[in-house]
Parts: sequence; structure tokens; C-alpha cells
Amino acid sequence: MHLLNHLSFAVADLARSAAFYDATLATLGYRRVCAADSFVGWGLVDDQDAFAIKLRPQGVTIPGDGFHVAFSAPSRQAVQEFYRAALQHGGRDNGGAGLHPEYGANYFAAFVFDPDGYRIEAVISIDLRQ
Amino acid sequence: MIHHLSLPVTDIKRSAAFYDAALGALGYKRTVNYREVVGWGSIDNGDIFSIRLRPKEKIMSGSGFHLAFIGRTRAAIDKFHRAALRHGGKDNGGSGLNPEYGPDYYAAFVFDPDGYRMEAVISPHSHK
Repeated sequence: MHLLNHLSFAVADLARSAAFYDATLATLGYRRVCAADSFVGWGLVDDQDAFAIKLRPQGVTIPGDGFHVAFSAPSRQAVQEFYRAALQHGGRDNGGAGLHPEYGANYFAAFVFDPDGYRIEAVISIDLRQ
Repeated sequence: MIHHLSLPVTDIKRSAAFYDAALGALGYKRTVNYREVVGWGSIDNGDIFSIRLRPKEKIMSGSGFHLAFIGRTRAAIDKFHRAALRHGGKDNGGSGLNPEYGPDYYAAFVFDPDGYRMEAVISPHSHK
């Protein structure tokens, strides 16, 4: 049973952030499902965005380290591809890509900052032996 | 798509009481309980949504940020809205059908105690 339906946050440069999320979220199997002058959204179904960015060019308050959002990855390879795509498209490293047993025996994740400085993550935490 | 999310809050007790009530109305329970981190989820599923105490946090302002939780029934969405207003939240659009987002888009919109825009919505839906 999941809890979260959708999320949006503000970005300062829509084209820059859209390019970043097109590249990173594609590695996890998500695609752009809606777009307009002031927002772009990603998900699995047309017009049903699970994650969206909204242009707020007048200024964006970037949250501190209490904020982070993690996207579900389909495989460990996808997590690594997410990490590489993030660094190639305007993101910055925030902890590499790899196993984090401190969060769970099978917690494989990548941690980056997006172009605005939001803390984002890609994670898969299933037991691959199952 | 969203695996989990955490938000900084300026008063953990105030926000924990708010989310206990609001998320409880949707059928979720507190699954993580530390002095500076509180999280909610479903049984044996860890926390999917958590709050972290950051007393000096400058809260994301404006209408860019919002987060929507999944509700199962219209009654649960209405209950979420009532619980939010009773536990430190403020109304941000009532509870009911929002045909501008889709013919069956039933949702409630509130501000949490820090001013974050929160929503409860029946899934699936069409959302823009």
C-alpha cells in the first residue's frame, strides 16, 4: 500500500531542470507526460504526472538537508545510470551510487543534487535473491 | 514513482500531531518515531513520508511545492480535511470534486502547520 500520489516543487529555470529530469528519470523508466510554459511532469501515463516541476523565476527557496525525495528504480543498474545521467545533466554528487546497508540490507541508492540544489535519490531496496 | 520523501519542519511535535491525525484519517500509521524524525507508512513497510526537525528551516514558499497523499474513499478524503483543520492545518480549497483536474478528481487541499501545501486525493486520477 503506497502513500504518496504526486509531488511538485518550484524550480528557477524550467528548461534546465526539465532537461535534467528528462535524462535522469528516463534511466528509471519514467517519461514526460505533461508540459506547458510553466510546468513539466513525469510519470507512466499521459497527463498523470507523479512528479512535476513548476517554474518560479522570481526566486526559489531551496530546502535544507531535512528535505529529500527518492524515486523508485527498477534495478541496481538503473540506479547507476541515474547517477551518471544526473552528473552529466547539471546535477552534483551527494553521496555516490551504491549499497547502503545502514538503511537496509538491500538498500542500493544514488544521491545527487538537482540543478537547483534539491536533494534527490534513486533507490531499489528489494532482496535480489528472492 | 515516488519511493519516499522527507520534509523539514520547524516544530516536530506540532507537525507530528498534525500528520498523525491527517494521515491517520487516510489509514496510515506512524512507523518511525525518533526525537528529530517521525515517519508514516503502512505495516512493515517502513516510512514513506517523514518529517525532520529543522528549527531554522526557511519553508519553501509560494505555490510551487505541493504533495498529495493517496486516499481510498471520498469519506476518507473528507475526514483528512476535517482532521487537518482540527490539528493545526488551514484550508486551501476544501474537500470535494475538482472537475478541472479530471471528471472524478476528488481531493482535499490544506496547508500543514508550517504552510506546506498538502492534498489528499483518490487514486488513480488525471492530474495537471
